[in-house]
Amino acid sequence: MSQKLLYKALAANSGTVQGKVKIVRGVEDNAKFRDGEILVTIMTNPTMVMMMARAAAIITDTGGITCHAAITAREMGIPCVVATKTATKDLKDGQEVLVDGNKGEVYLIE
Amino acid sequence: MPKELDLDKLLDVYCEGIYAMDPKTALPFWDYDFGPIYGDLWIKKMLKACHLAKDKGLTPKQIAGFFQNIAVPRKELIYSLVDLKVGKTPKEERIFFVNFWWDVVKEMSVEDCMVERSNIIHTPEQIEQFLKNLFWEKSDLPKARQIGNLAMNLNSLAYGLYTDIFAHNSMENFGAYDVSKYFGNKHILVIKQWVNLRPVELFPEFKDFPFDKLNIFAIYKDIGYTVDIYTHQIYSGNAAQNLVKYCVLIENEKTLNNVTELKNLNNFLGKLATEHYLKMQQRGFEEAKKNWVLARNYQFKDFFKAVGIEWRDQNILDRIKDKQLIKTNFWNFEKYPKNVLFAFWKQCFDPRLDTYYSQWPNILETLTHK
Repeated sequence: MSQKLLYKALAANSGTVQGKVKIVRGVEDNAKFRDGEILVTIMTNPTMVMMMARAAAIITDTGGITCHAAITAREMGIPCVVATKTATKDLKDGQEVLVDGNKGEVYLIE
Repeated sequence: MPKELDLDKLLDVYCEGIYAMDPKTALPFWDYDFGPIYGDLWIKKMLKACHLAKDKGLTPKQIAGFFQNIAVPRKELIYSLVDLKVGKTPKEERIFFVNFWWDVVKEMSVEDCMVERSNIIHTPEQIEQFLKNLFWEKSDLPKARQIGNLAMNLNSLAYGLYTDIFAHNSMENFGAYDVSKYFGNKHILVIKQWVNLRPVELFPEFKDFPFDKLNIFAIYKDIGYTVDIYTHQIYSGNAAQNLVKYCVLIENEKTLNNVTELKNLNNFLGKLATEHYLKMQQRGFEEAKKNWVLARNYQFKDFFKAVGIEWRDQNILDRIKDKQLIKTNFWNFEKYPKNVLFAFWKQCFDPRLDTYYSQWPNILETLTHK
């Protein structure tokens, strides 16, 4: 297995976790979201809370260290990387990634 | 710690707070793209209320009593710095306004009034009483996850009720309070509070919401915790793993620490926060603007009532109708370096300077080419 660095973005909450990507567009993805998946979205909003509660980590395209995703991830104690700019375009459902919330890095596991 | 108003420091803290955000992610939209549409009407109303309060002899302490969260007057103090310039308010009035709200903030705050690192409104004696009298539950990871989930759900509900910008009319983070002398080295107490959860004047369907106020008292070990002027929390370390003890208190009376009960509450709140926010999204742009204005006014409901002013404001609602957001470069973090933006914001916000809103494009242009 190899690791490929995809993003060096903003570290919004610490911790490191590996898991499968799930691209989330909105509340309609709730039924498809599985426990322990990595929630990848443009920016979280309150319609995603039930998925965020089950996510192992959060990756967003936009946001700062005090955005909704960051604040939520810190309360939940899960790693969070924000402002990747293109994660929702580049990543695909089911891909294995490593989220390093300490450094703000995301790696593709191949 | 001194409580005198240091405007330069306030502007520094304010700029740092803005820069920590991403304007693209504000829900439903960036405050400064909308506020200037009605800023002159807002500041006129607020100034009238402040003068009436003075005329009636209301003290800062009495005025503080109209707010459940210190974040409301403190954030209004900073938000209105823009409105003062939009409304071309004379300098004397600007200074009066800033001092008026600073006196209220001072009254409610124990130290660090500007929230440079912490939000301290409880005295050491009050903290000791919490530690002695509350029913504390020893935490483990499943319990800590429920506590985190509860905070997330209530925060999200507050966003739906009051918008991202005025969510502090419900949610606020207090602390960190050093409790090492009770629990050993590197222990802190953080108090998370949600109030005004039954705003029936805004959302009649919330009349049967099970409580109006909920607090989470959380003791952490080996974790850093700061709050900014926007009352955004930042932990350094893992809030779930480092939670040592907690107490969930409803209406200052009922303790809810049982993990199954917390899970049931979270299931209810998660669903409600989702449905409510979805409903708000589906209402569209015109309603989003209206909700925004109502939320801002609603925070001052009791204050306005005390001075004989109606909190609902039809003039402002008429003003914003069919208006688009104002797009400027004033908040373009990608186009301008941090030092240029900070210099620009400080010049524009500073109540001591006659830098009116219409002049802001020229000020930014000048600073860019300096």
